[in-house]
Amino acid sequence: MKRRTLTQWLSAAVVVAGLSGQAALADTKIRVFSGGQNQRPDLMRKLFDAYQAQNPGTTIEIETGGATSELQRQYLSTVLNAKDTAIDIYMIDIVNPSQYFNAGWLEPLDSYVGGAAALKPYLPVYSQANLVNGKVAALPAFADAMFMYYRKDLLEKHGVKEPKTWDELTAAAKKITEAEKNPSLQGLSIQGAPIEGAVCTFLLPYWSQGKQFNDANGKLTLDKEAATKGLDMWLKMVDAGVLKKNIAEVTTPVTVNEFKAGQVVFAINWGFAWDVFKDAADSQVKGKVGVMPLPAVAGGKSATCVGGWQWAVSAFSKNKPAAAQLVKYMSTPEASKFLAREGSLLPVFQSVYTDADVLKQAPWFKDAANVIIAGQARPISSQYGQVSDVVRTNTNAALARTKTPTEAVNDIEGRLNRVMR
Amino acid sequence: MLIALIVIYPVGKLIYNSFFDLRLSGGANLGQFVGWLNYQDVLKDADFWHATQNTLWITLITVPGALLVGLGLALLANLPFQRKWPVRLALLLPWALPLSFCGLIFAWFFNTDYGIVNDVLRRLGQQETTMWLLRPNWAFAAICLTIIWKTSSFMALILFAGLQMIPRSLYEAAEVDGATRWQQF
Repeated sequence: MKRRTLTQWLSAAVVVAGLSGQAALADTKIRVFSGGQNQRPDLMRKLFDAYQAQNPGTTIEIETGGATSELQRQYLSTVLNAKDTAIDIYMIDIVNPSQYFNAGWLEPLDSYVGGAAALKPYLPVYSQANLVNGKVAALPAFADAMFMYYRKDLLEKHGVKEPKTWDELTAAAKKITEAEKNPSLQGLSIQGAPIEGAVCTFLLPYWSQGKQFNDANGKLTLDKEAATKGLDMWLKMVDAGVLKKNIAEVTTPVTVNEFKAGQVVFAINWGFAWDVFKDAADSQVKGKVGVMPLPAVAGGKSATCVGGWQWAVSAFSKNKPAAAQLVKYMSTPEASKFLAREGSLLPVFQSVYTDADVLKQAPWFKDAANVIIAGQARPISSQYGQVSDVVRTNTNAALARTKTPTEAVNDIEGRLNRVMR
Repeated sequence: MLIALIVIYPVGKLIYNSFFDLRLSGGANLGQFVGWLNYQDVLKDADFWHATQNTLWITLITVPGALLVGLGLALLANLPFQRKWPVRLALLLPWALPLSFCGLIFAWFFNTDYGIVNDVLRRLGQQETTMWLLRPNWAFAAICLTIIWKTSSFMALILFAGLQMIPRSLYEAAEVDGATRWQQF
């Protein structure tokens, strides 16, 4: 009696497995980790829906999380370290391909895209970032760089010209805030919290002085004096009342929200913020926003931090060919144009910058391509997580005044000398 | 068997792992045997000693603190109430809240610009804004306050249960004998 029930169960199981096997052939499910809110999962959803329509039988599910880049990195580190098959493709920051490739977390795409030549059409900084050890680690989703947003209306009202250097900006901000007599109006907003963006806060004045953080082999080439001068520059702005005293608490979403609410004159932020200021229902600054490249230090050149997001296929995905197909689709010029038009997400193809539809939504894109091409990438390292941690926590400590700039820079050098060799 | 799985295996693996160079961030030379190197690195690291000191101080401050606050809450909850369940719910909630939620919520409470704590302080007339999370001592105070808030609820529950078990007859007998309220306590 027992043996008969056992065989009955087994045969039932085989039948069910067979049926579901057949169903699986017809129905592919792809699970995507699409970053946080700033990476516009709503727009990605629209692109996925279009893909689903073109490829019947494919369902794409989105998972989002992590308000800032390093939080997403922490989450993905946990999932991928556990070799979890739950995620098929994921979105990573421009600084991550090297680390993820070396950790064995992503599937090189060469066999699906025809080798490294597939990276040629993209902007050079993205071709470089996604090519690790000669292999295609990921494909670009959208580009980004840091820009200076400003209140066109306030500058016009007080007869102030667009500042080209940080000193001019300090003077302009002071003039406007003093004249406006609004206690909650900030002169400038930057990101001082220990988030990924704080690495850029450290590097912007450093790069602007013409210094490099690392050489072509990834070895640390820190100019301590220039780095200290950079941190001092931000602190001088705090003392002058241009930056608010608790700037060390400000994250990217906080800057966006405060500028959107009309409480900031100048704000450093990424390209995606344009769409928020222009279209958000609660934006108090519609039609009042200008965008320009970042100012330079006196006697230096304007430098910006390049960002941007990439699509990678998980090394543990059970569905790699389907996942790679989806990644290819998301990195086409058409997808890039859609994201640029609908969300002011900067394109990764030079041609899309001058597309008429795109320019109607974001007229400043015309010059944005040059900014990105001249922009600098953060250190490319297989241990980038550690590099980022050291730089952003020290920058935060310097801005919170729990360490002096000299102490912070010494700590950066001490810790990174071991990591970046 | 269950204890072996839940306690012995993880602790054993942890001690075993501590002799290897393992990295959560991946990397080429994973898992090399490094002997006592990890222990040496930790003992040399200033951050480790700093963290140990902080932990010691937090324990010394929050355990008695939570006990005191918990006792006060338990005594309050012991007063005769019409309905018992709102009181018990209020006592239980802080302890039931997951620790990570608690941390995130209190991080916002102590936010310099948008936090409730600074708002209340401003209304009470404080002139100079405290940047709670940006000054080491204030941040320490904020952490202690949060931990006390959470653990005092647990203490209060236990003490409350204990208080409830004291029969009324004992109080009445003490009152008859002429004990003051404080002596009864």
